[in-house]
Amino acid sequence: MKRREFGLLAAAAVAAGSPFRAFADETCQSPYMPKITGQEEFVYVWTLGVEGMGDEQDKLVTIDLRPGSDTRGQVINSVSVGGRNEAHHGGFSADRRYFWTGGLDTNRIFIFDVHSDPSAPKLHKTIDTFVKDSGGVVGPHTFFALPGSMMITGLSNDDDHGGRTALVEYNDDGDYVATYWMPTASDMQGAVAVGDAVADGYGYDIRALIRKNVMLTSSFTGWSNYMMDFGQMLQDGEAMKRFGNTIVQWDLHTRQPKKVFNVPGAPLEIRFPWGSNANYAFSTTALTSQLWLIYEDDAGEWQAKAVADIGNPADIPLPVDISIAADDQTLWINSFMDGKTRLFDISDPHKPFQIYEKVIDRQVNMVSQSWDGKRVYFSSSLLANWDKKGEDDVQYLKAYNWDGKELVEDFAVDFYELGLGRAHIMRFGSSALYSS
Amino acid sequence: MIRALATALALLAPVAMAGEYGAALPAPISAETCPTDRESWASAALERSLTPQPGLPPVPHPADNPPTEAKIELGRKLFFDRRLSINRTMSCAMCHVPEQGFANWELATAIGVEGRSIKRNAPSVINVGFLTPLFHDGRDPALETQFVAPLVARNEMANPSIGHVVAELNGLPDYRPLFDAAFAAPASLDRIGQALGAYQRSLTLGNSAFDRWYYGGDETALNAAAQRGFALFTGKADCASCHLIETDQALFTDQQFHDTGYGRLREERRQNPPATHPVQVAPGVVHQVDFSRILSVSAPREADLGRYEVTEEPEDRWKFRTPGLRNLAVTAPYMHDGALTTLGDVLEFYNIGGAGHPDQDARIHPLNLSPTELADIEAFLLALTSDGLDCLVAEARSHPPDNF
Amino acid sequence: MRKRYLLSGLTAAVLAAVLGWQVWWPGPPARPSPMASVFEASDAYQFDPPAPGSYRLNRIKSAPDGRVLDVAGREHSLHDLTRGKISLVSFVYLTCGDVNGCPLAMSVFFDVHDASRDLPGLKEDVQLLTISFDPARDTVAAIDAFAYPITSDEEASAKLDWQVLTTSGPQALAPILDGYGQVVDRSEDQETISHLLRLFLVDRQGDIRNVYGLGFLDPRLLLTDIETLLMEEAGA
Repeated sequence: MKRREFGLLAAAAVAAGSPFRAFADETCQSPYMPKITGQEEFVYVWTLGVEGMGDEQDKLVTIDLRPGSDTRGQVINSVSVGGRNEAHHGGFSADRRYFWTGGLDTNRIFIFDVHSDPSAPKLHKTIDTFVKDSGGVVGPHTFFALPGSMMITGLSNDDDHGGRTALVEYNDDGDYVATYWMPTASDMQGAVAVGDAVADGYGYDIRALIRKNVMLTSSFTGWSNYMMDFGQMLQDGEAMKRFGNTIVQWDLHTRQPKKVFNVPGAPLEIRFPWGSNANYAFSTTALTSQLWLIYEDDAGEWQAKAVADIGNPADIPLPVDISIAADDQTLWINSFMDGKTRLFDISDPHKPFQIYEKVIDRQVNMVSQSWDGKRVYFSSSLLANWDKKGEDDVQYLKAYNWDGKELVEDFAVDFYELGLGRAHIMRFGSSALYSS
Repeated sequence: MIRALATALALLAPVAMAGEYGAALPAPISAETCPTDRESWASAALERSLTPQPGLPPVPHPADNPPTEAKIELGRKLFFDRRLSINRTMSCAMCHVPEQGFANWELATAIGVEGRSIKRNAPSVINVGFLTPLFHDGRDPALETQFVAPLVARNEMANPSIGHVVAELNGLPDYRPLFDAAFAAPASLDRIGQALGAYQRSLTLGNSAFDRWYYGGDETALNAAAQRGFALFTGKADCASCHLIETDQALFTDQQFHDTGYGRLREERRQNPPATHPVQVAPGVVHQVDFSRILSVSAPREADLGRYEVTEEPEDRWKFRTPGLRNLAVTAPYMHDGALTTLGDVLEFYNIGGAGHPDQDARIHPLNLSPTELADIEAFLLALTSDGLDCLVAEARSHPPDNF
Repeated sequence: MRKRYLLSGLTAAVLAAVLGWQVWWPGPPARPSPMASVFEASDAYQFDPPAPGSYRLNRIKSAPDGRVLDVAGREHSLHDLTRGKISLVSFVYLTCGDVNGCPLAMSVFFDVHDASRDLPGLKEDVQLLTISFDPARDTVAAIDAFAYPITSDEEASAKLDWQVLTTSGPQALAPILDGYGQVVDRSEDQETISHLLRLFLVDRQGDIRNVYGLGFLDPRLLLTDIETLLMEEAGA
């Protein structure tokens, strides 16, 4: 009978834990999404416009990565969107046909069509009403694809430009669906503060472990801080008190907060491993320079603990982006202030240790790696007013090959020399994703 | 003198500027204790701005701008409208936050469009109706004209011109009925100023514990420490020679400009930064950071010569207007650049005689106040907090901020 | 294995007896509570479903209308079929061999369909719709043959209605796929049709209230969401 065959097939598939369509690419995407298996063909770089440079506007820059292409390693497309919006992060829709990118300052969301011609994304739709739609959320940051919708983390709010914020959900058509405010000490929404955690209501990144119905969010700082001059902020005692110190565990299905963990010093990126029995996630704290593990303990309870220092925390190296390898054995960690990338062995997630480091340039922010881990890409910009000043303000995308021992530079694109601006998030594209 | 300067520098650099490490952050002023509604809040605001309050003189409404409910409603909307900046991110209220005493507790100096730096602290606009001239350097005499500069300043709301703002308002359909109700006319530069003036003059609050004690004759209103603090404030410490207390009312300001030594001290620090600076990276965790690392991510900061920037008179260098002290418990951080976190830091600055510069006002000299005396003065200052802050917040939040 | 079959046969017999009683028994028999308790937990979904009604299901968007054909070749407006009942909607093509695609969608529907025997009265409120996105091959005759296990099910009257539907061709299909946001990529040889597995929960008013992808096709979750919608309708 058909039913039993279906059942057996389905059980086998679920047990294998294989995501639909065995594509694969950079390892830090939503698990709902199709992935690029082999060679990434293009990298899209969401780039901040700079006053007095080129057309001064934010733009989506496409760089050719196709082996053998005459234009490999070159900019082959650039789409300007108008204004400087504090271009920052972006994410594909779950069907990977659209690339949603956000402006942390102006709260505009630009949705690019990347499937009609993956070599030349087109601006498909602009959402100008994010703050009003959401009831006052400012700073659309991470775009995390769910089936049929896009979950967007906010960083701030329109009452005070501080750090209290929310998650905002839109459907795939770009229409507003719902707002979920982060729990605060005065409104826990049923969540429990673990240990000495104080729910601050701040937001930053979001990732989920679907199999466990667990969603995690981290916490950064509000508009006033992420927009202001970095050096000025370091000297502003009041401003430095307004950073997030929490990671929140949510019920993914109901979007309800469950636990608030104390993770002091602005935990930023969150990454779950891919393994079918790996019930943990990593995060790094920007200000306190630690690697944190959020994990399910033997009793089935989720916990948070610091598992390693990144460089010398007293120097404030400022760890920023991280990238976990597809085999869950290593983690790249970039730190902005010293321009370094460090590779950590995370084979025992409770005891990670550094195995390699290299200075990429005078500043470095984002890191993305191919699914096989052999190609690693770096970009330079943190935030428009946090980037280094003068000679140290180098802006680039750099491609490296990783042989397991050494990062060897393949090519570099100088974003200032080309009059483009500040290079921020990188996402891969491939025409192999779309068969029609 | 040298020693006083060194003490002042020490006071400013490592401890005061990074604040009280690990201390719980203050709770914002809640509107919950003052029920109000979208329709009738403006009548309460109007009544408040027309009725003399304990400890305050009558609000000096300009003869050509008597307040009305309609002007107050329009002024409130303008004050909170984020659409009135070039990229729709800033309103007046993004720096003058109601829950933070219509100031900003989270920043020493304000941040404007695209994160651009403003060199001064956003002052509270509570009781701003009594002040003239306005701004730390007194560069504008009246609320009816003051609003233009922030709307067009490149580092504040960055509109390309003030005419652009007027045209923008006349293009927004939600404003038409409010201008009609207030003025029976469309938006104009004068009418915007009048509405903003009327709203801000409704943010008037006396009736603190001090007022009930000093002007209301309620002996129990002020505790003993605060009463001793009052005696010091008006006597040994001589604060009241600038922060005036009159027989029938008190604004706690002489509306004049003075060189306390603080402005010059701060400017000298800007030009000659210390080798290291303490940076709080998490509650209770502070690192001494090499200043060269801070400089690598720092844009140049503007100099601040105070009143001189308005008059260009050499004797006005380093002078700043005397701030009123009412509600200062809810308007930290302090001084024109917000570099002092607590009232204790401010009192310590004056107790050691300011910066000890030779040209500073003669009234700023070492006071030799004991810790108990300083605590008494602080108790007095904390007794200057008005009843009714919650209602100012409730009225301010009667409608959500406007966004596109 | 054999013992289990025997047991389930017994259960069925008992159930049939119970249903027989219903003819004269006043009032419907009680449903298990929560409804999801009719399923056992599976290793694939390592969490407990939330309590029904303890959360809010968003209105994601309106489900689209369109013209569809049933197994008898009759044409219907999709809205006529979806309005009035809570619907679980899935898209498949019959020659689909991707284990994480159509077979999984069908398997989940079979699970819910079978379990609905134990949820008396639920069929008054809930139905299943399977729509083909390969109208060229999935003709009326093809879907009729495909639906045979469902239409010939002796216990069908005790289970949820389950309609297998196709369309007259790509033009009729396109607005339905677009409206639901079900992406379909045809390979150049037309042999395989890549698509992201999606299952849609549509409420009685025709709004899409949840979209399930791989990882959330836990039948316990589907029933919990359905129960939550029923509680919302009852004003709970």
